[in-house]
Amino acid sequence: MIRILGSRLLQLILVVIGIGTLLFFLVRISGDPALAIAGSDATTENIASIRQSLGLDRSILEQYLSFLQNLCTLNFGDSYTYLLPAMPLILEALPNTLYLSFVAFLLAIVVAVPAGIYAAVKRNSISGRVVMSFSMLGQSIPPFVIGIFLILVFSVWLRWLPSFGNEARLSIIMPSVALSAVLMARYTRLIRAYFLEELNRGYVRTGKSLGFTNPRIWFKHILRNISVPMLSLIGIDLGKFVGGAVIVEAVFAWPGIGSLMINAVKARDYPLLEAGVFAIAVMVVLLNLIVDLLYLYIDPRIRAKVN
Amino acid sequence: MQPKAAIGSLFLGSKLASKIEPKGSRPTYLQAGPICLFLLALASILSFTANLWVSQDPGYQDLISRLLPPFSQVDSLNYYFGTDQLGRDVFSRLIHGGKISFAVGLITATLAMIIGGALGLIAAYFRGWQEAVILRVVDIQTAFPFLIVAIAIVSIVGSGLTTIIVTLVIWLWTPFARLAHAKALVVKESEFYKAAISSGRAGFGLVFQHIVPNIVGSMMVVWTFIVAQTIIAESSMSYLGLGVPLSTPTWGSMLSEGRNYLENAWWIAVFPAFAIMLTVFCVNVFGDWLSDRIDPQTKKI
Amino acid sequence: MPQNNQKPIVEVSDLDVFFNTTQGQLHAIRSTNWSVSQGETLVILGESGAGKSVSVHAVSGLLPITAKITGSIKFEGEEILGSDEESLRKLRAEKIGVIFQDPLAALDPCFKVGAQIAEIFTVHRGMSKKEAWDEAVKLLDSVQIPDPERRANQFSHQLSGGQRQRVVIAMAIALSPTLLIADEPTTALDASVQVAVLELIKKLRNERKMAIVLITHNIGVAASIADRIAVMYGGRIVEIGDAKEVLQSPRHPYTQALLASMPKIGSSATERLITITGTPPSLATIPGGCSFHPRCSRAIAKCSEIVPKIELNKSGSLHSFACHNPEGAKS
Repeated sequence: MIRILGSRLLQLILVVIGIGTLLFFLVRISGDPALAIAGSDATTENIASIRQSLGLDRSILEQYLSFLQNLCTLNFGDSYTYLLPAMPLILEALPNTLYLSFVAFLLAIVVAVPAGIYAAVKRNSISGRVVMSFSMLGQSIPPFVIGIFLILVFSVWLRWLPSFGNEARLSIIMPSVALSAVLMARYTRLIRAYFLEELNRGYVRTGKSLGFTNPRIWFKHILRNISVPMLSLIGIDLGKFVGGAVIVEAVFAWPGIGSLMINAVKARDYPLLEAGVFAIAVMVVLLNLIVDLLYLYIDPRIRAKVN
Repeated sequence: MQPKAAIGSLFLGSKLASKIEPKGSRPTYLQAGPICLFLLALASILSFTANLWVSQDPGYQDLISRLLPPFSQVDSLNYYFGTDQLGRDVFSRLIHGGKISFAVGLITATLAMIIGGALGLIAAYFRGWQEAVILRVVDIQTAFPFLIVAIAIVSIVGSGLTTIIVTLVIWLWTPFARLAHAKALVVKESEFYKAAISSGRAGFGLVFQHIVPNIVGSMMVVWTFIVAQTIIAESSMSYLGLGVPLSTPTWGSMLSEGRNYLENAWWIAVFPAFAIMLTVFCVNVFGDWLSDRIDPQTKKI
Repeated sequence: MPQNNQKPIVEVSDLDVFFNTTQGQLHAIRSTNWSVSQGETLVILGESGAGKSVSVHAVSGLLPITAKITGSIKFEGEEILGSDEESLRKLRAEKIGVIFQDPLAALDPCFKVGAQIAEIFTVHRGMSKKEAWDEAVKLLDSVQIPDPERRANQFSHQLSGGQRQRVVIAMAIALSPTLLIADEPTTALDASVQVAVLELIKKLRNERKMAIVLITHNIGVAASIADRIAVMYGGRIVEIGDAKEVLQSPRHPYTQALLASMPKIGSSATERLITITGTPPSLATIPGGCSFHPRCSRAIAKCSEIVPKIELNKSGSLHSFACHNPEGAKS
């Protein structure tokens, strides 16, 4: 248990320092941030004073050390666009992203579990193959493309759902569907594959010999057994999932971290960008940690080994 | 009930049981693999030779002819897929845009395969600290949402074909390294490899003669799926305005422009959307088919 | 002791099992006839691949969907062949208990052992979780698991092989079935534990008056528990009768060879083991005529062409066998 926590903590530190450093040097190398802020028609004095206020006139080592120091206190400076501290802005937008991600994930699981089991059980019939074909399709369509199609159908043609922002209660529907589609498709295929493997196992035969109905065997026993390998794959997916959330937020103008970061990119708002990348890195590592702990809880064999 | 077929293996031993699976249990779309490959080859050739046969200039703006629906005809000009908000021919932009998608896809995947494969082989061949470092980096990178980093890098360094390709290669080399490493280790344990070593062979000659041929097949399968991922990644970044400069049409940027015109000019976004979707779909189908031929035991996810 | 006037639990007549494979139809089990009565133990004896499991599980309905079964299977007097899945399921729940060979695989690794047994009671008897759990603990006690309360809270990987098999037995007899099918119940266990488990099965049989069909390739196991023995080879029953008779005076050449090949306690270490030449056929490649003829020392021309029918031993007992050229017959 301690080992898992420790390893994740180490990972967190490595990731954060690594990315932070990468960004730090890239920003310095690629041009003068002071120039970017000041604009093209600023005078030399303006630029110089801005540079001084940002501390850009010190040596690189000094800057890097103070950067690391600030990292520990979560101080990323002020956003160039909003002129407010960067990290609090990020934290304000974070709940929206979490809301979207959570709903999308839930949707993916709720659809994929029955679909995957159905595709496994009916694997030799047409309906099973249809499900698999759909999931193949779903995996091929990037979230933002799905988003566009959804907007076309439900916003433009049917006028049922709003397509921008998070004003209405129904606003969550399209973005979460767009985000969940790829995951839904992937998990359907995964669950089907794992399910089919489990069908060969002894405890399934025991269940049948005890006169249990098929649904009971599938949903109580098999599902529990496949959650373990599924969980480890879900952990790997988290990273891609967060990336997808950023794009979906862009398509739907969803007020989360993703939108904030896209705008930061366009405006060259480096403090905001750095704060955002940092927040996302931390979030991903934390989520991975949760997955590790869940893993421990679900599989009694691992729990026994740890204890 | 279908699941009972699986129970057969518990009674009859796997050899007999494998004969008992009802006919036609393999998904039929797997035969569509070569068809998809053909379509993709056709599409890419058409895109790369666009200058030769597409009549309209993709960048030519004609504000009088803006927002025309598909199959419009103005004077002698045919706008098969309509025009966009600046009067540019959507069809022509679509074909030309394919150049970027296919080029970036193929180049990135190939580079990633070479670099990732090399690193994986190094890790497997030398073991020791090389392996530890490389695998650690792979682990960390796999779990992390690289899109964010890619966005940050491109935004800072500036967009451009080289930047995109380099960024995507840095993003996507990891599956190749993992695969190469795992398979190389298997080969190292095999009889003929050990025989080769004991007969005095060593060094990279050994690697190329024994290890590489055994991993090429699986690497090709992964390569195919990475092409799909690259096309998605590139179009995502183009959508966000981080792709190649805006003067070149790309499917992603067309989509992003068309987003605002979905109300009255849906064709600007829909055609590139279909293009992306169909291309990636074909690549995935082909990848599945390839995977089934080369590595039938591997779970297709 | 088998009593002929006991009510028959299972009566199998003229049973054939076919499998639809990718290479055509496999005729796996051919024309088998057997029965088992209340309180009686029938052992199906034979080498691996003889079709023992397939022929017995045709009764429980646990064969794959690609299996086609013809003939007649009567359970407690009623024909069950051709019944729909739902009736078979109910039959398996209430009347038939099954023990399989590998107890670790038979148990669900994600659930506590007690919970798996309790599930039987909550599902089929409508008990509450608490009641079912108490029943489960009682059951564990009756299969001679020490400290049943603690064991019920453990997972299958925390139990020893013998204990796991006891749990499987407990699950099989939980609802007091009339028929217990034991498919190689001791094969996967250590030798020292095998005897104990076998004794447990005997004890439970006597207490509950179950009919038992036990499948094994181990002659010692058969000798220990059987009332009657059916010897199978190549998908057919070649000899069937009272256990003592079959073991002491086997009539079919295969049975004779099988029994002769058993190492005997007291024989010297240098004495060569008698083996049967050749290997048993897989169910896919059963020879024409008598399945055993390629390896039989008494084979005559007729043996490769015509399938011998099971005939009553001339002495008039229920001991029957299928051979064209048994010992003592005129050649």
